[in-house]
Amino acid sequence: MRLRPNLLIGGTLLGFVFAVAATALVWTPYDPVRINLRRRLVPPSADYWLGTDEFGRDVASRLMEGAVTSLTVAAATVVMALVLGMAIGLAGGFLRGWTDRILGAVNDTLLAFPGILLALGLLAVLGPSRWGIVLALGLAYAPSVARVVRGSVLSIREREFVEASRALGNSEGYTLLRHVLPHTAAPVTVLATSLFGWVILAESALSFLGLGVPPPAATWGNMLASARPFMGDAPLLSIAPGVMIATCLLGVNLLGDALRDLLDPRDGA
Amino acid sequence: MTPVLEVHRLSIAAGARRVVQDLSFRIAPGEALALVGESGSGKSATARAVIGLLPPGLARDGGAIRFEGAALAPGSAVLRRLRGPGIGMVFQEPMTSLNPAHRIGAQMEEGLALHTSLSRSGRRDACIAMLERVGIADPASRLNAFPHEFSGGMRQRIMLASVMLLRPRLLIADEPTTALDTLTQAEVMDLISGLAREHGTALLLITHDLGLVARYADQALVMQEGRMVEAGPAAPLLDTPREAYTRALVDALPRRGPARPAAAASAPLIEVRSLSVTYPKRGALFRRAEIFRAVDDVSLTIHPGEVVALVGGSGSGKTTLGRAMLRLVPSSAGQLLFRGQEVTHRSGPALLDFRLACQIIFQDPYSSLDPRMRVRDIVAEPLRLPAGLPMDERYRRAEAMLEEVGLGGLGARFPHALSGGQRQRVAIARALVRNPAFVVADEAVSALDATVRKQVLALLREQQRRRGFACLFVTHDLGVVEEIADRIVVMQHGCIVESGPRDAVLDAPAHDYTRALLAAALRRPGV
Repeated sequence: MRLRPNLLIGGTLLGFVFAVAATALVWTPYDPVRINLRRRLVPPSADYWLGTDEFGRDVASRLMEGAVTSLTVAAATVVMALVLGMAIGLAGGFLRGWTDRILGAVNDTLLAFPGILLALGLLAVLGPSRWGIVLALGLAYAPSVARVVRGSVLSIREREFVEASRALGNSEGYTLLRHVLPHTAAPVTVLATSLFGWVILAESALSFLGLGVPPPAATWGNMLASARPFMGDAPLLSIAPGVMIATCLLGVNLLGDALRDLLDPRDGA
Repeated sequence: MTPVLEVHRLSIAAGARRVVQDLSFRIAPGEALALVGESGSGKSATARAVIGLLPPGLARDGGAIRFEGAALAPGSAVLRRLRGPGIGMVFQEPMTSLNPAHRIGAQMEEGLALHTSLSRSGRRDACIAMLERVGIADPASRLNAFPHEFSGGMRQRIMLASVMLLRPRLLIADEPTTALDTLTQAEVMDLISGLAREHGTALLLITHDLGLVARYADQALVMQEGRMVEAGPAAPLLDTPREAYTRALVDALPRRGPARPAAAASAPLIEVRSLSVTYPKRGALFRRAEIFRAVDDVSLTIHPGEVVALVGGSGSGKTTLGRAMLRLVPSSAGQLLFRGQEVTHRSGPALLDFRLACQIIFQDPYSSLDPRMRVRDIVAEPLRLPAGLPMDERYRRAEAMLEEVGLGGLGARFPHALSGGQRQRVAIARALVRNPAFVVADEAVSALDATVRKQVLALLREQQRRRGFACLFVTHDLGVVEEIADRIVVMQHGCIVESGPRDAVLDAPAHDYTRALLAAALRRPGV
């Protein structure tokens, strides 16, 4: 197999982010939530690699802790959106008829809302919590997954190999899983990688509005949000989480492209 | 006399590879030359080089092309002015060679507006006259129609009409009828050669079908892998081919096999009684949808081990009937009996017995195989049912089956890494691995080159003789039928118009439609 630059660069970037998160699980330089008001907004030094924030908490430690939270929330949300969206899309596209019309109507209604607005509404009901965010953003992004999946199912189900599978006596469920589902992989992979990015951004936006993962827990989003008043005095406070978000998104996108190419048997052979 | 087209030692390169090498030929005014060869022989590349429209990646690599004595350099302004009034071209795919966004009148006029000084109404009159000539009914109002309102054969006529409007001195026809059924093919080819003769247009016909050559070309040039194999006047070349490759091509033309004794009076395997399949036509907003009867009150019986050919033009309902007999499309009336038992309305587990005993081979091996599965998984998949066969046994049988269809050792490949003929062999292996009692072959060899078609047909016949399954062979090509069928059933407009033993139907057709089909079938000359 040729070594693809996308795979290499994407893998390296995402590998770095995951390594940071994995390290945070066992060790951080300081307790990321310990407040030390005597050492507020300290510039970077040998003790505090990235300085401290307005409560004297170590930025490096919070960044590492934030990697864990942000990645967990983003991954869980994407999985949730994919599972929900694919179930709806497959059912609608494969069964067609009334099932499709009803699912489609509900789906289009949800799509008409901006995802973040839908999540806001849900969170207002659920109250800010880590799993609340996952649920809200998962529901908010599922309709776009459903749309993409339904579209590809509609075109694939007309192909002759699907009819051939029926002629073999395979049940509809087996045909759906064995011959239709795998062909949605390419568009869904691409969508999932961009979803991952949107979710990290959406989480920071929600944190900014005070509806994100509740403090004192650190996420890149709420670090970015709370750093805003100090942008002039301590720019590193906002740059550090910003760079992490950018690294993560770039890595995910490149890896997603590479994955899509690898998943296509025409290239993989 | 100066030849209209002279190609001298033409070479065409695709990167480092030569797809055409040292090819020379000339066409005199009004003469028809056929370039014959299989896919990949370089015949289409040659045609495109003549008109200067080589696809990206291909480039002329030496040699000269002279049109009426003047050399044509690739990309020259001379060449561009010649396209249309000098050289016209008809493409293979009528579905895509007309622009779906424009009315056909506007598309036909384009060339006239560019190359003649006719007035607007003059152009319109010319279009109408030409449409009339190619057999489009009510041409004046059809000028305002869009391409999608026409069938494939009609579109090819329109394409031909718009090219011939400019009265080119050379017409290039690149597989002009390959996408059409036999009857339409004969009509369109008759038109092409008739129009060419009327206007004194020389014809360069690109085809893989020697049957066409025999009927429509004066000269023939056989190509293989970019080189000329043999050239000369068409009739002697076909009757007494000098080269082995030409002989193989001639032999690949369908030929009648010995008749087998009629199936004994055994119990019928599958029986169709007054079956109808209907589709709602798309109705207007407030009108009730009309009903289209694809299959109309058809009865048909097939005995074990019998090969029945179901023949008809496109739209005759033959494919629909084949699928309805496998319960792949729902029927709206009538009964389907399998081994004496009614299966018309069975579903779920009760239907499984029927599914296990019946199989289908589709026309297009590109779309009938799941591109994400390896060949051996595709062939092993049918063995999932009935449940109980262990995995390694399934794969052992799949490998054995692949061996039998001549694909031993290719099990790890994906379909895209196989040729069209090989894919169709995979489809056959998948259909036969469970030893079905009844197989529907839906235009199973129509998409293949002549020599490959012959091999695949031979494989099907050999497997049929060995396994003894009954077969419904759906096709538009009576030539193919000759080789394989015991009995022929002819369908038109959803009804069976004639049926009987093969030799009776072919030698003494009773129905006009059968006679028309027979006349259109391109069979081995002189047999």
